[in-house]
Amino acid sequence: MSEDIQFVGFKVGGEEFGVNILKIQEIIRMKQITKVPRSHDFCEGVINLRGNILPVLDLRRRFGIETVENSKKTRIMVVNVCGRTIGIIVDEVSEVLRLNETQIDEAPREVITVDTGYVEGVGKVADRLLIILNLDKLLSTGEMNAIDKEVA
Amino acid sequence: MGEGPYKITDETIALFLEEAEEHLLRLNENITEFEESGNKALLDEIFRSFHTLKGSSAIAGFQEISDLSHKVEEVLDELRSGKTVLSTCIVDALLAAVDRLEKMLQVTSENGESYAAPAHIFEELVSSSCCPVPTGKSLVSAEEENVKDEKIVEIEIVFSGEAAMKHSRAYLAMKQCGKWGSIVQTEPTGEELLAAEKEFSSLRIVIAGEIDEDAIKQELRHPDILSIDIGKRVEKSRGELPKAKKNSRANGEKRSLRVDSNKLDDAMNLASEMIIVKTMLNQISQEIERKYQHDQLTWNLGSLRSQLDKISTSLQENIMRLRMMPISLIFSRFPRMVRDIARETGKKVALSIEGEETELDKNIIDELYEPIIHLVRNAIDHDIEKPAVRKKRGKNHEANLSLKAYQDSGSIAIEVFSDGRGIDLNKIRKIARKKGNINNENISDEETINLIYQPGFSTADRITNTSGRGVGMDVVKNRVTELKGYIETWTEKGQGTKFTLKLPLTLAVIPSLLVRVSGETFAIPLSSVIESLRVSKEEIFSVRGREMMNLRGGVIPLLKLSSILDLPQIELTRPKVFVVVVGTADRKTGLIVDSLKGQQEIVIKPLCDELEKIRGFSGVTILGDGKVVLILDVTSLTQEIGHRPFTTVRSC
Repeated sequence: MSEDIQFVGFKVGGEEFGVNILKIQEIIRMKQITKVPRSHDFCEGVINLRGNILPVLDLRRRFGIETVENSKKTRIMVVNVCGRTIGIIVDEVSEVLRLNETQIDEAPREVITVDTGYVEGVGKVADRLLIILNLDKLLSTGEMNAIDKEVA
Repeated sequence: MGEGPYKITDETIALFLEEAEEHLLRLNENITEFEESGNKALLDEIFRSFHTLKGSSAIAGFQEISDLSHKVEEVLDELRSGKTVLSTCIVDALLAAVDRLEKMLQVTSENGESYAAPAHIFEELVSSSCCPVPTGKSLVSAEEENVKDEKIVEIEIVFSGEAAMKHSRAYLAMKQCGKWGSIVQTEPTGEELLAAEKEFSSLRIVIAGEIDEDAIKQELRHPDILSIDIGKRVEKSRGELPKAKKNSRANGEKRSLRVDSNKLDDAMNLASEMIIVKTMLNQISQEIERKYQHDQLTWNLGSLRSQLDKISTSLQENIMRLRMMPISLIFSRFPRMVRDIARETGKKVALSIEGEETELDKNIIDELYEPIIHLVRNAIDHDIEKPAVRKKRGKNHEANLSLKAYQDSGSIAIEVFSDGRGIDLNKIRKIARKKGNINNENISDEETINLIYQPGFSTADRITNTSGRGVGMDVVKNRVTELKGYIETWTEKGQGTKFTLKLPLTLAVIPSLLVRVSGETFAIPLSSVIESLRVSKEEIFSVRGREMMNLRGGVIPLLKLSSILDLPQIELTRPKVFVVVVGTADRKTGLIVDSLKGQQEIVIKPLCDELEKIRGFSGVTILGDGKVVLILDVTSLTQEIGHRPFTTVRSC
């Protein structure tokens, strides 16, 4: 039997996503974000996490989903990606899910284009579908390069 | 890497490299001092350093380094036993060996491998002992040197039996005695006095120095002191002084601990964060206190709160202080360097160093090394004359070069002074005219001196090994400016030249001006702020589409901070706008902001990796309420947009 993997489930723009729990350092409530002028659109700004300055990215914008007003459920997931610590804003963090490999299907070929290489698979939980993200790919191919290019 | 019987870990190597670096630093210092004084104690210390190097390099698996150290040890041994005489050759060979070791270590630390020293180093070492050009100094043992010109005196102070705080009184008396000479011995010892446990009725102090008995009696007088008895002990002193002056350095050396500077930064982060949380806690507890005014618990809370205030503030200060290091860290390298440059240029130079215990931020110290080297090289190469010339001019044939550091109202001053020929202002004017740096005939002395800080400017007739290429002074200036400091230049023909670098104590905390633009707060380092003022809209005029204003006779360009930063503009209804004048005296720019929020000391933190490359910001800071604020990098902001159009206006 293959081992279970734990995922943190969260919502962005009505869709449910999952990220390997090992990638996540902590989840914090929405806090004041300082905008950094001249930075990339995806970059919402920086926050102070116990004395450390972290950049915060808005996943809604990254996915091209219409941004919604921050609510009481809005969270910042502090994740470790490509050796960096960054925050990503999500609409809601739902739960920790334990999935067996058998419950994860490969992402349908049709959705994997060059740009969506970050979709690692689709998890089935009861009657829900969970889009499992590979944050390293998501953030290395998307924002990070864009930011690097922009300011270079 | 070596194949020892046990595994050599990376830590072993890192530890060895660090230790070796320290030894080499001390060797440079000691060898130069030894050449001058011939002090035997120094020779012993030099020997010990090489011995340690030999051992630890062998342990770390760098046989080649060990071999060279061993060879040096042999030469030193002969010197110690008197088989060879101290000569310039030997000192040169020793220094060459140190240089070689330095290079070997560098390669080792880069590649993790060591290589053998070239054979000629060994040959030089061996032959050095047979070519005696004696320095004229014979070996002096530590004791002999110490008692030269000094009296050794024993002071006995008898305290009255009912003296209050007798231990402290005695300790103070002991400290006072330290003023007149070096304390050789006391009974009870200083530690015993501080511990205040041991009973005693009189304090015996043995000091060595130039002693004026009456002055001592006068100064020590106190109602609690019954008698002061001063007796000379010159004749007995030599044999009895086990560890006198020379070793006082070793005794005074503080026990220290090596800490990764990242760990310090982390601690600093947490301390400032604690202060932020404390501020919030204060607010809440004040509300609680208002609500439950007459409760005992409220009172307790209040007193705890003020305690926490004190502790957290001093904790933060202490952590800040951890970053401070004495400037001797770089000053100590100069005796060796000055000796080398002086010999290279055929000049006689006496170096004096003052205030090496002055502390400043480690980061600043590291950055300062090169500029100071440059100033020292310049001083010897350009300013100081050849001995013969000096004699002709009625100066001592040996030139004075002094390095001095001191604290000067919140900033640190570092002086490099040489009593040479001074800067020839007319020559600078001539060259500048030829090069086209200036076109008008009469420029002030001050402006002339400033020309030497322009890139590519050199007055040297020929290019030497050390200077004259015209690179340097501009680099020195840039570096100092980067460190938020400035340079003062003083020169007098025939009298010499003095460069004074004024630097902030630390880079971690800087005073800044907080401004608001489009609802966001930004910090501008005060070091780049010249003034701030309110200007009515009528005073702003436009030249070729650029906004300008008059500032006491001069015209300065204005920039809307909100438009440089692409922030939404807020239309202000007030008739006057706030202008912050930034830049340098000759390149001012006015930044239009919405409002001023006041001055504040801020802790600079780097902007995170991804955002670091965005121009215009030098970092971020966290305010007392936990809010993150960006720090503007005025130079890059104004260079980018402000000055290009402005200079074209000027040139047409």
